[in-house]
Amino acid sequence: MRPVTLTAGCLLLLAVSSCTGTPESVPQGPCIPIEEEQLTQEMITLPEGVVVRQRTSGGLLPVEREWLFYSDGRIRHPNGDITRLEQDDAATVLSAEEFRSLERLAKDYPAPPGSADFVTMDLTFRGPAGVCAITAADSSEQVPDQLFDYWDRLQQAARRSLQKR
Amino acid sequence: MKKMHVHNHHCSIQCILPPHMLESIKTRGNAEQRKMAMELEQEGLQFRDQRVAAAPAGGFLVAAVHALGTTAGPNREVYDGKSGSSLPGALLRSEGDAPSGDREADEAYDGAGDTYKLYADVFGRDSLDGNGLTLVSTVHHRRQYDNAFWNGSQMAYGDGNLFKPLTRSLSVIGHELSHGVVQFSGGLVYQDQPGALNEHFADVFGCLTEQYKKGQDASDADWLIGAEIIGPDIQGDALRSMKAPGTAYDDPLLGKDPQPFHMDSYVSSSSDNGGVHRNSGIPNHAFYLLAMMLGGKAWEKAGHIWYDAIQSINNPHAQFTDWADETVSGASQRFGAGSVEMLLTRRAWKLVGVY
Repeated sequence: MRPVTLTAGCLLLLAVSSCTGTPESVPQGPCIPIEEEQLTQEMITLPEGVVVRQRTSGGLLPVEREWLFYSDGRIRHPNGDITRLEQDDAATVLSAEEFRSLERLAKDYPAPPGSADFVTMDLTFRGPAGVCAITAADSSEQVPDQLFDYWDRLQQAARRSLQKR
Repeated sequence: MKKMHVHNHHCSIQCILPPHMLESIKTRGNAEQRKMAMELEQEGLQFRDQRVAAAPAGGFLVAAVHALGTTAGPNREVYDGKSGSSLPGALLRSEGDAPSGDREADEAYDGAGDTYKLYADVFGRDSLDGNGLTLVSTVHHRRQYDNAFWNGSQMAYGDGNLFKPLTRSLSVIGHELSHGVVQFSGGLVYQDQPGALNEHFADVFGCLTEQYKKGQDASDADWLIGAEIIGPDIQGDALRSMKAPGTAYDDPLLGKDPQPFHMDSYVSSSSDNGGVHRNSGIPNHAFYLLAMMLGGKAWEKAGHIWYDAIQSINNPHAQFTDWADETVSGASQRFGAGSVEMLLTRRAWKLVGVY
C-alpha cells in the first residue's frame, strides 16, 4: 500500500498516518484502495494533500458548499479562506479509530421516497484502507448517528479555526 | 434491465431539452435538427409509455374530497429532537394538548393546524393523504441546523444558525407539509423539472397557507417564502420571492438568489437535484402573475386550479409544459372553456416563457 505523506502534527492527519490498512481490511462499500487510486480517478478522487472533503448541497435554501481538510492541518473554506487547525483543535476532530469506523459507514444513504428539502452530505476521505466516499441525504433515517456526529465535529473544527485566526 | 438503462440515458437528454424546445427546433431548425428533435420526442413518448406501464397497480393516489366543513380535524404530534439527529424524538405535544411552553414546538403545532385548515376548508382534503394522516413534526432537530425537511413521513425543523428557528415561518411550515400533499397525490420525482414543480407546489401552498390565515388578497400579500427566518446577519428579505424570483437575498455568504423567473434563464444544473429550488422560480412567478391578474383571494381561483392539477396530472415525471397544460385544462373544466380564468392561466405561462 502506498504510504500517505504526512508532515504536521495534527491528529486529523495522524489518524490517517497511524492506520496502514491491509488488503484484508478493505471494507465493503465505496472505498478505493490508495494504490488503485490512479485507476479510479473518475470514481472517487481527492486533491493532493487533502485528507477530508466535506460538501453540502440542497436544503430549503440550496447552497452548495465545500470544505477541504489538508494533511498539514490547513482548512479551505467555501469562501476560499484558508485557516489552520491548532494542535488542541486537531486533537478533537477525528481519531484513528474513528476514521476506521467511518470507513465502515462508507456507502450511500439515499433520500426516502417523497422526501424533499433534504441536504445531501458528501464526505470523501483518505481512510486507512484508501479513499472512501459517503453520500447521505440527511432526511434518511438510515444515516447512523455516528456519521452525523463525525460530520458535525468536522464542521465545528472548521468554525473554530475561523474564529481563532 | 438493459433496455431500461438505455431509456434512462435518453431521459436525461429529454430533461436537458424540454418539450417546448423540441417544438421550437421542429419549427425553426434545419432538416437535421428537426429530425433530431422528432427522434428525441419519440423517445420521450416511449419513455412516458414505460412510466405509465410502471404506474402502481392500484393507480396513483388521489385524495378523497370531503364536503367542506366535514373533515375530522387535524391530528398533530410534535416531538423534541433534543438537538440530535434521531427522528422523531421525545413527544412534546399531542392533539388537543395545551401549549407546551416550548416556542418552536408550539409554532410547529399551530402551523400544522393552519396548513391543515387551508386544505380542509378550501379543498375538502382531510390531511396530507386525504385520510386524516397524523401530522408529525420534530423541532430542535440537530444542532444549529439551518434547514427544514419533509422525509416522506414527517417534518423536521432545525433551530438555525444563520437563520432563526425554521418554525418561525408559517410559509415554511406550509411548504414542508405541502411536499406531503404532493407525495400523497401521486408524487413528482425530486429531480430536474418534476422536482422543480414539486418545490413550486410547496411554495405556492406555503404562501397560500399564510395568506389564508391572514385573510389577505393577492395584492396585499408579500409572496415571500421564509421571510420570518432571515437572521440579522443575512442581507435579504426571504428564502424566495414568487413576486420577483431572484431578488430574495444578495448576501456575501449565501450569494445571490439564483431563481429565474423566465424560461430564458432556465438553469441546467447537476446540484440541488437538478436545480429544483432554482427553476421553481419560473412556475412560481406564473402562479403569482395569474393570482394578481385574477385578483381577490389567491386560493379561491388560482389555488383551485393548481390543486386540481396536482390531483389530476398523474405523471411523476411531469415537465413544466405538462404542468402548464394541466392547469389550463383544469381551468377550462372548472371555469369553462374560453373563460377569463382559462385564458389568464395560459397568459401567465406565456409570460414566463413556458408557452
